[in-house]
Amino acid sequence: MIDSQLIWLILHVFILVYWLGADITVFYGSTQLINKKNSIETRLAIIKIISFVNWFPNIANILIFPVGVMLLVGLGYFSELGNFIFLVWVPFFLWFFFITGSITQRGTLVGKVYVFLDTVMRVILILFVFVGSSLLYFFEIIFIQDWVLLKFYIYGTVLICGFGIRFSFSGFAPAFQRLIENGSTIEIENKLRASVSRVKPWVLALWIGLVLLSYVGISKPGF
Amino acid sequence: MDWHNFWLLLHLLTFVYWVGADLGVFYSARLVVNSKYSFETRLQVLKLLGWVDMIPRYMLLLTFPIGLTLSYLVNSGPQSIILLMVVFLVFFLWIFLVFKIHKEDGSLLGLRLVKFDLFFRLLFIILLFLLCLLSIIIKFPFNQEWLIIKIILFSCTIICGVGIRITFKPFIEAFKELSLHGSSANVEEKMKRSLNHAVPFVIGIWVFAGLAAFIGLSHERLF
Repeated sequence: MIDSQLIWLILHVFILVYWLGADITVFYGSTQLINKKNSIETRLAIIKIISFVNWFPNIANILIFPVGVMLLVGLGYFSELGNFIFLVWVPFFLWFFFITGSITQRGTLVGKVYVFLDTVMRVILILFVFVGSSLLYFFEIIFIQDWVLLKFYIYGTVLICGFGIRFSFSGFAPAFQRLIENGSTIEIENKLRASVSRVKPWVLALWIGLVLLSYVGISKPGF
Repeated sequence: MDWHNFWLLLHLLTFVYWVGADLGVFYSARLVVNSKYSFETRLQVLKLLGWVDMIPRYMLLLTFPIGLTLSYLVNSGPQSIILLMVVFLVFFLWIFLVFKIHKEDGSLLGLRLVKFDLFFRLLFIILLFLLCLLSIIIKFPFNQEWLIIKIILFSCTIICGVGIRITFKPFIEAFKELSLHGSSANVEEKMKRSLNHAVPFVIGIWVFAGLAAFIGLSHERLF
């Protein structure tokens, strides 16, 4: 019998597929962006590929939490909230709106506002997964199994990695803009390379975080 | 450490990197046939596509021995460690063959290896179907209906892979022509047509792999 829990589980897996799996193209593509042998036109084509594929990890990043919450509901969590639990989707739709705006309006004032709102959403979510879930767990406000708390913490760490990626990669876009306008120079190429080198540890940490999230979800350890 | 969970995680990751990475390959291919780009850019995008495409190729091969190990652990498949070791050895050799084909791309040895790989795939498809038929009749080597269905779906993905290889052949020839004589309406049309012919097989892989994942996730409820 196909029930809602099964559908959420499948969605949860596919979110991982289009986050972790799609990230490979983004990561490898970024290494080709700093390849001096590639012409500006080639690099622009690669940017186009990265920009398209990166939508999937971006959306997956948003969806994984509410879908995970719906899975927890199927396990008996948050029963006190009844159908109000579906309201968990509201902030995530808003977040999706902010992220979409920050990408499509990049470089404009409106785009900056969206980036700010996206940052606020991430900070709130990080605070919730670390502080909120800890309070719920340690003060036994609701019963949370160890593995669920662990998943919250790892997800929070993944979100922090997302911040790390954003800040360590922030120098890339202006340098790339200069590359388009002025052509390749040693200084610009070094800046591009430095940005990609800085972002690598964060990306790696994010991938490890996602694999750990999967393992905890599969093994459901208790302490 | 629970080994079943460990292998389950590996099985999940092969699916993640198979289907997820395919997304970048699919989109990049669209840029290769875009005649607005210079030959150099199209070549570099093709190289990027070729690199990323190796991940799904390896994963398709890795998923079988890992799945077989899982079937051994849950008593649904053949109960022989030696057989598992032999299967792993064969598949590691096969992965090496696929790696070698990528490295020897365009050379005479590469072409010979491609033929050998194709022969191996056809043999593997026949073997899998025969084993599934045997399992339906005498419940050996696989004794669970869901597992037999999963293996049939997996075989269908390999068939689709062969389909891609056949339909994509004119693309490779046309691209070689493009590199030698430059763009012409005939060459561009040939490449686009070849890519379009490959699309149903690509979607076929996603659908069959997705269905196999669905069976894997839901077999306890559905069977």
